[in-house]
Amino acid sequence: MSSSVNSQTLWYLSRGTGMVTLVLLTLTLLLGIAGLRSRGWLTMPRYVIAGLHRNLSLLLLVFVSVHIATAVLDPYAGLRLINAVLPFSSTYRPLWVGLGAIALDLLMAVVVTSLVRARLGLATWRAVHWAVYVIWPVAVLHAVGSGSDIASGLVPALIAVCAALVLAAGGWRLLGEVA
Amino acid sequence: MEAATAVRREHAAPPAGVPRLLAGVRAHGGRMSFREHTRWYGDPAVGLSARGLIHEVDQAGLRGRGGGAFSTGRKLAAVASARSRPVVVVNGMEGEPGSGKDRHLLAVAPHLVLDGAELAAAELGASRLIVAVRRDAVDAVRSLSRALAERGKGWFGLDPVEVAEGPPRYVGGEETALVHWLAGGPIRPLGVPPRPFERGVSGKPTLVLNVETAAHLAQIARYGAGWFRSVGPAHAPGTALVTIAGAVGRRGIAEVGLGASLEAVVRASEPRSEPAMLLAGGCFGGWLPWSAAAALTCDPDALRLAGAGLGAGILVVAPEQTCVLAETARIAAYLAREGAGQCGPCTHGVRAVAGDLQVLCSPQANGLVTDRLRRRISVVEGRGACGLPDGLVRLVSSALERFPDHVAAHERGHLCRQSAVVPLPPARALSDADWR
Amino acid sequence: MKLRTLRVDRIACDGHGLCADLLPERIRLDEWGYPIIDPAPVGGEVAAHARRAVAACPKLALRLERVG
Repeated sequence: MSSSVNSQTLWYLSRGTGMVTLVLLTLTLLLGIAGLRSRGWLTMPRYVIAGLHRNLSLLLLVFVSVHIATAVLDPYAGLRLINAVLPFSSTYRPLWVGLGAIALDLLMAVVVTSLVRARLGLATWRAVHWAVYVIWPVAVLHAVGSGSDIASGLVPALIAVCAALVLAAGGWRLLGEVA
Repeated sequence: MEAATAVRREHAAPPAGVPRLLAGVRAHGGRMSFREHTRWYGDPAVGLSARGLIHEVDQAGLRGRGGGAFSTGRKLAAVASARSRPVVVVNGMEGEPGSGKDRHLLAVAPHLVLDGAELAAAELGASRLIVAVRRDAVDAVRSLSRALAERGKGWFGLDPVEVAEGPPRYVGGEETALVHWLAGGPIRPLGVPPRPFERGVSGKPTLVLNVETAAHLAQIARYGAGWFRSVGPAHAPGTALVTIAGAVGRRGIAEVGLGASLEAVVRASEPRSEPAMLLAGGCFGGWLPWSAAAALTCDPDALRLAGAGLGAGILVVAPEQTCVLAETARIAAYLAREGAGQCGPCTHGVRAVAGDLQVLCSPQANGLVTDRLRRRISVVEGRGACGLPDGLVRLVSSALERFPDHVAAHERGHLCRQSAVVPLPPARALSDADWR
Repeated sequence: MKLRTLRVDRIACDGHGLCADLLPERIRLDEWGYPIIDPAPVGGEVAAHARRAVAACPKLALRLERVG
């Protein structure tokens, strides 16, 4: 058994699922905005968009769980599970990993409030949901700072595309608030 | 400050016949001070049946005079059965543009109104008594302030009686809108449930009593249910104040016995020519051709059945040259401006109906517009949080059903001359401040 | 099986229309996009769809209330 090969596998798995999480986060955010500000999108009626938004957010929870699990299992960075929820508590790159913890904590809040929305009331649910505009940039920063090879390959291009889409959609969303 | 102790009553006898509320004012020759009022009427609680005010009011069959005509006794009982101390609000907001009776009553007989308010508040153990008046009714506001100063602690030591001067909006008289505004919000209706008698001002059970209803209540306490029922039909006893407008020589406030012939009431106001139609019930009522109106009485139920209403007692006498469609179009435009803008079907629907009516009064009128108008009113009805759209639906229905020949003429391209008989305030765009 | 009726909070409703998509058996939209709700009680198979429609409303304006 080669522990270094296992470590490498876990590390690639963690980075891979991390990137998928970021993409899913972007898509979820876009769908959230599309559902709110349109009467339908790409022939999808609003309830389909709403359903996709919900399912993608749950899917991204699966991916982020794998992302965290593989990162913790990999002995290289010495990460513990607590580092995923307690910001800046890790020994490895505490700032960047800590940003991930912040993103995760906020994500948990958004998901839980969404699941009990009817009981919570619209005002509280909405207030917490605004946090997604913090989750996304914080997640991106976490991605940029935590990985060792962030500058290579498709990764920067992918992040740039996601960023452009989110900025455009977010801008459109805020216009809707002001108008 | 006047002493509220036992005072010799100079006129102990209850008013016979009509008028009742305005009898004292007329005999005295004007507004009475609290001392004069006390000498005339005496203590309202003296002689009140041992079974209490609520029982007496219930037996009397008093129904609200604010437009809803709901049983006052039942309202009182509902608030009385609540577990916490209620709030009593006297509603002088008088949102209907053609109505002036509440401000008139406050100006000439405020002490009757306040007697009734204090009686209700004392009976219910109210923690607060608020009199809400529209702030542009300067005469009423002034008279009310003077009256409260004259009364001091009043009959029951209720102190203070609060005065709230509210924005003059059409929906301002609606119970939940008034409660909303008293709680610090805009004067826009709230959805029900809960109704104010369950949860109103400050979350407390709230009795909202129309100004005129409070005055009747004061007289019921003094003279009893039997006396109250001696005028009017069994299902709607007593007298009511009406505001008469239109092509008449004697415009203004009159007190009529419920059940009185509409024709007699209109003729007493000296119409300038033979009336052609009557708007009974204001913006929440309906149109009646004169032939139909003359056969009806001042009875809220009978008028409702006839497709109109008594409402807040507004009667607009319209002469021959009146165009019922143009008048309804004017009212619809007014309602579109004064809508709270909270409910989609009402906001869009009232505007659409107003537009259709405008087209019907233009050279572009045709049968398709009438069909569209009929469809629209059936869609809009009952789909607002308050009754505003329902009032418009009733108005339009009465115009279309009662005047089919006139409507057909419009569809064929007939254009009427300018018609502006229904009293409406001048058009003005409203800003947020107008609702606060 | 408890019978319930659908009711919409008219002030909260913004005419998003998801309810009509999810429960066309009972809800249709007027010309301005606002729901016209069939007052008939909801039970049986329709109930599950009704619950989805209630959950889907972005303004939480649609309610299922007990009859009577």
